[in-house]
Formats: sequence, C-alpha cells, structure tokens
Amino acid sequence: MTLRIEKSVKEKGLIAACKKQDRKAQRALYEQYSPKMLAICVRYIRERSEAESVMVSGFMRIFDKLNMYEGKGSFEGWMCKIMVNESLGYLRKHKSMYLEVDIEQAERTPNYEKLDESLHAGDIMKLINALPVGYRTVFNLYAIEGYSHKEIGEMLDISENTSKSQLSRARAMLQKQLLELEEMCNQAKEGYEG
Amino acid sequence: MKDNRELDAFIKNKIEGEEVMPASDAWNQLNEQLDKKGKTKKAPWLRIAAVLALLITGTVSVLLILPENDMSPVAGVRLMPVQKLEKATLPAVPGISMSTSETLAQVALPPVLHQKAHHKSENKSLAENNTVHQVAENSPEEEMSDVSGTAAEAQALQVASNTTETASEQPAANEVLLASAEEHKASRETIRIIYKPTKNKSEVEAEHDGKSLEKAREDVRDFIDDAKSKGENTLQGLRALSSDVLALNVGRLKDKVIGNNKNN
Repeated sequence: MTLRIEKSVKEKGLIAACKKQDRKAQRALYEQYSPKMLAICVRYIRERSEAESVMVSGFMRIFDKLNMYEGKGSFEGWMCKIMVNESLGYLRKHKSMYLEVDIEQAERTPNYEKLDESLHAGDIMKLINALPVGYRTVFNLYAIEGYSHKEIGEMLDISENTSKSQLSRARAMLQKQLLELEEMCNQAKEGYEG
Repeated sequence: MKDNRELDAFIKNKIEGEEVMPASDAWNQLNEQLDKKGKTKKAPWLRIAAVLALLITGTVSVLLILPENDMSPVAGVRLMPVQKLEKATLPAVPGISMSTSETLAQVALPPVLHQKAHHKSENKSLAENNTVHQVAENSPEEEMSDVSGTAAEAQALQVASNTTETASEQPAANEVLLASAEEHKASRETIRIIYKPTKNKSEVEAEHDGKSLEKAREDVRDFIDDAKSKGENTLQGLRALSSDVLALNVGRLKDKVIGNNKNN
C-alpha cells in the first residue's frame, strides 16, 4: 500500500516535470515505460525497427498531449491507448488490413494449463506476430485491449461483421498453432521421459 | 464461445506485462525529435513578433510621411500640429500664466479660414486687417472667463458654435471673418474661430466703468501680484483675469496665426 502511494506520488512529480518540458524527466519517463510501450507496438507491427519508430513517435505524442491528461485513471493506461492509436495509424498507412485467409477450424481446444507451464510470453508474442495483419490487429484490440466490435469497426473503418470475422479467423489460427505447440511439447516430454 | 474466452484469457494473461527492451539509440531519436519540436514551437512567436514589428514600423512610417495638410479636420476646431503650435504660441502676457496663453494658442484657425484671411489681407487694405484685430479686442468676456485647465479647448468649441449662430445676426463686427464664415457655413468642414462680436469697444469700456483696456490689464496684474505676495493661490488670480485681457490675447493670437501662415 505504502509502495503504491509512493509510486503514485513519484509518477505525479514526473508528469508535472514532463509538462514543463524538463528533458531529464522526459528521459526518466521514457526509461520507465518504453519497454511496455514497445511491447504494445510489437504486437501490432511485426518489424521490430518499425515498431520502435512508432514507439518513438508515440512518446512524442505523449509529451505533446501531456497537458490533456487530467490525472483521472491510470497514466499507464492513457499512454497505452496512445501507443495503440499510433500503431493503428502506422498500419492504416502502410498495411492492407483485409487479408482473407481460409483457415480450417481446429479439431479440439488446446489444454491451456499444460501450455501455460511450457510456453513463455515470448512464444505467444511470436504466435501473434505470425497472424496476418488484419487478424492480428482485431485480435489485439478485442482480446487484449478490450474494445468492442463496434469500436474496432470505427477505429479501423471496417464494419462490425468484418471485425467479427477477422477475430474468428485469428482465434482459429491461434488455436491451431497452439495445438501444434501442445503436440510438440507432448512429444518432447515423452522423449525426455522415454 | 467458452473456448474463445479461454483462448483470449490465456493469451492476455501470458503477454500482459510483457516488456520488450528498445534499442539503445531509440532515446537519441526521441531526444532529437524533442529538440526539433522545441525549436518549431518557438518559431511561430518569432514570426508573429517580426510581423507585428513590420506592421508597427509601416504604420508609423506612413503617418510620418503623410503631409500635415492631409490631417482630416475635426468638426468645429482643428488642433494644429506641434510645430505650428510652437509658432503660434503667444508671448506670455504679464498677469497671464503660460498655460493660459498656450491653451489659447492651441485653438488654431482652419486652413480654409487661414487662406481666406490671408487672401483678403493681401487684397484688401491694412485697415481691414486692423478690423480683425479690433474685433478680437472687443470680444466679450463671458465665454472666456474660465480658462483654467483642460476646459479651454471645449470652451473654444463652444465659442465657435456660438459664433456660428450669432455671426449672421451681427455681421458688422468683422466683415472679413464673417464673410468667410458665411461662405463656409454650408460646409461643415469650415471651422470658425470668431469671437462673438456682441458688443463694440465702447460698450465693453462702459461695462468696465469707462476703464481702458490697459487699465483693466493693470488691475488684473495688480490683483495677481497681490495674491502672490500674500501667498494665495494664483489660480484665483487667473480666474479673475479680465475678459478684456483675454480678448486682447485672442486678437494677438489671430494676428500671429495669420502672420505665421503668411510666412509659411
């Protein structure tokens, strides 16, 4: 509890200093949050260097709009939204969102408990990155960020039904890949035990 | 449906809080962009300041270049430019403070009237010029009895308007100036500084119990000197100033102004 309050006070001070264009404070804010922000950008943009550029421009926007942050709600959440919007802006500019790929439905659902033990966050990130851009974007927005199909439709300028179909295909693709990973893990376990 | 929720929750839990370390030069990129942004933010103010400076310089230059004659006349009285004011200022009359004579001097004749008077004075005899002087001397005291402070200019306006009303009723007082006044009455641009010639010299003298103008001036001077020696407020002396003295000064002012115009 005390730690959380201390963090909040420290964060407020940092924000106040950043509002005054204090370069040291800006650097401190960047160093504190850039890994998390880059993780968001990487989920949307496959190329690492592009994702970094988007993160940098996202930080520019954060410093620019800092006066608009009223202190209500999580500051990190506010920054995450900016990063997501920046990433979407990049995708709108550079990528075609509507790649339709026919995917066979998975025969069964993976065993998530077993997968949780054997897979790391990096492995899941790779699975997400392997998705076509349209699927990946809609899945990120819906499953991770928590937007509704209506909101996603407005953000990506697509219909709600398109958003739903993209999500459905993304899920099917992820499930299929997770099943393949599960089988690989099982085989590795059997080989180890055998 | 349940499978979907499980999948979403599994992935979200797995990657939530995931961190990816950026390259070491990412901060340098950001730093450079922040520097550029800072410069571009300052630039608009510089541009605005430059534009404002240009506008002010331009306006001042235009105002300075404009000829004095282009100054648009104000209805009733036109104030003279500073240079002319200096020329038109009367020498201080004993018993009258400088502020009084300067205030009087600021009431200038309009260009049209200057021209008329000038023209007439060139073509007509000296006697006519003397008439102008004399009429000024005979001006009544009512309008000019209180000349203190800034009210002088407003008074002059009042005098001018009174003159316009009464000038046609008593044209005999000043043929030259009244002729000019009547000629330009239709046009509001014409400004007339003619003191209401309601009384002639003898009437004025009768009003002052037969005292001559010089005598009246001496009385006033004595009054002010007396007030000064007693340490009283000299403003009282000013207020007690005889209308005859004022009228005399107005006459001198007109002569001076006309003379100045002639010289110019």
